[in-house]
Amino acid sequence: MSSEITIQQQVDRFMQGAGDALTDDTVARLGFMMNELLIIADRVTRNKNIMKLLEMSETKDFAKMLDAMSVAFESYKESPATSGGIGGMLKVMSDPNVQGSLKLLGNFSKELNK
Amino acid sequence: MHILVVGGGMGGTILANNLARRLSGELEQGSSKITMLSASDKHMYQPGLLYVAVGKMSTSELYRDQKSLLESSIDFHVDPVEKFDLDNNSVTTKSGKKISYDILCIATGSRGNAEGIPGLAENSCQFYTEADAVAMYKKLSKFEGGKVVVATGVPHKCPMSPLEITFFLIDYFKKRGIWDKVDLHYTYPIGRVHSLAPVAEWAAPEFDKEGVTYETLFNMKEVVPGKVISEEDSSAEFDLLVTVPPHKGMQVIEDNELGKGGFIPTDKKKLNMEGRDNVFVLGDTTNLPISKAGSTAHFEAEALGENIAAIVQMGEPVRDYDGKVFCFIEAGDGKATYAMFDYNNPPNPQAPTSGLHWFKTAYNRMYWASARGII
Ligand SMILES: Cc1cc2nc3c(=O)[nH]c(=O)nc-3n(C[C@H](O)[C@H](O)[C@H](O)COP(=O)(O)OP(=O)(O)OC[C@H]3O[C@@H](n4cnc5c(N)ncnc54)[C@H](O)[C@@H]3O)c2cc1C
Repeated sequence: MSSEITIQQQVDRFMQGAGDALTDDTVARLGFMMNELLIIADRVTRNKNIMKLLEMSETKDFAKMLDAMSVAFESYKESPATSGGIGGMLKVMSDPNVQGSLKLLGNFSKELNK
Repeated sequence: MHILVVGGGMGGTILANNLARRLSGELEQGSSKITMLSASDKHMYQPGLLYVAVGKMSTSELYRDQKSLLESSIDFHVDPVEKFDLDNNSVTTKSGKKISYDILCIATGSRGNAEGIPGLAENSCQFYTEADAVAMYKKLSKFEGGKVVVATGVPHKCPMSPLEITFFLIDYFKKRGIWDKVDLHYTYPIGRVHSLAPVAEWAAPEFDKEGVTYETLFNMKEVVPGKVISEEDSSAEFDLLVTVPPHKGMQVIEDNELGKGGFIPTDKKKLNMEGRDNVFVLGDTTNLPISKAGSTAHFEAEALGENIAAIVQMGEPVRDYDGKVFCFIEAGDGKATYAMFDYNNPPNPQAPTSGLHWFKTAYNRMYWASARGII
């Protein structure tokens, strides 16, 4: 008698093992998770805004924006506190990068108000 | 085009979501509108009641907020309809609002009517409402043995529940180690143990295997303490009576004279109310001689969704409902089978398996995705 088992026997044993390992509770939890995942996937895939965001997330600009945000955040954490007052403000405002950022924010708010 | 869905249960919810998906363009442009009126802000997974009654599910698992199950484009209100003015295409709600429609879909469901049989409500356990299912579980957990009778009235929702509750009771008593102290007796109103002949042929030997006795052609006439008496002049004595009560449609349907017993005469293929082209009926509310089941409501909702969307977009319906019903049958001992049938093909239930029991167990938790129209 051969000690080799057929593929069908392997499948049967696997199924029986899986069956013995499962409980009603496990199956119920898996069902619950599938339910939630399906609902999330459905919501995400049919939400135009989220889909647009996902599309945008694949562009170089988006990656650059995330990089810029993290660099800005780091340098903010590391920079010494500003001295404040009109003089401090003028110093910050004279930085061309700050001026560029304010322009970007201005354009953004113009678009929002359209 | 204003589509008004009355009833936010299985049928109404699946239909409204199906339509919202199919008509998303029209809804966005404002050329169509879907309104749903229901009697509750909660949606109950009713099949779970069977499990609650034998301690296999908790009541908190039965509910979700109705709004969370609906597409955001559906205008949902908890304001039950009190008057239907079909000649003038309008309904009046409990709050007094008059709402006009172009297309009306009625899915108000059905309810147990134990009061229709003298003594039944007072002397039996039932599992068709949350309160009844919890009360049944409490009674069961104090039961220490004796004669248990399962008796069924017609029509009733969920065609498989008389069989399922019987198999669940066997499991329950075995688990508690008192099965040898229980005599389980099953009665059924027609001349076999289930209305569908192939299901009856499968179930009777299963009962024999477990030592469950049965009596067919047993229509409950009256229940007195300890005894249920049939129209056929026989009787069964019990220490515990578990019943599937006869059902009626909702009172509002009767009050508006839309159909006898609260069930609306419905065309079996197009699902329009007989004599009305812009009024559709689905789920338990129809008078169709098919199972009052969630799956019936589901398949009807899919056919109707396609047809109503086609009416909005092309002026004509495109398909017929074929009478499809799919019911799992929990057969106890961690196993289940199923019956699938339609107007032309009878069911052919096979030997129960644990795989099908798991499928049903998982489906009990995946119902919400089904209500949203995903599966
Ligand atoms: C214990 C039990 C076990 C079951 N098991 C199964 C099973 O295993 N498989 C299966 O397929 N089916 C099963 N069913 C049957 C299934 O739940 C019903 O057939 C299904 O819910 C019917 O759907 P429906 O939309 O017609 O009615 P329902 O789901 O009952 O919904 C009716 C809706 O109408 C609303 N309503 C009532 N009156 C008004 C009014 N005047 N105005 C506006 N709204 C109103 C209600 O609030 C509710 O939202 C079971 C049912 C029970 C109780």
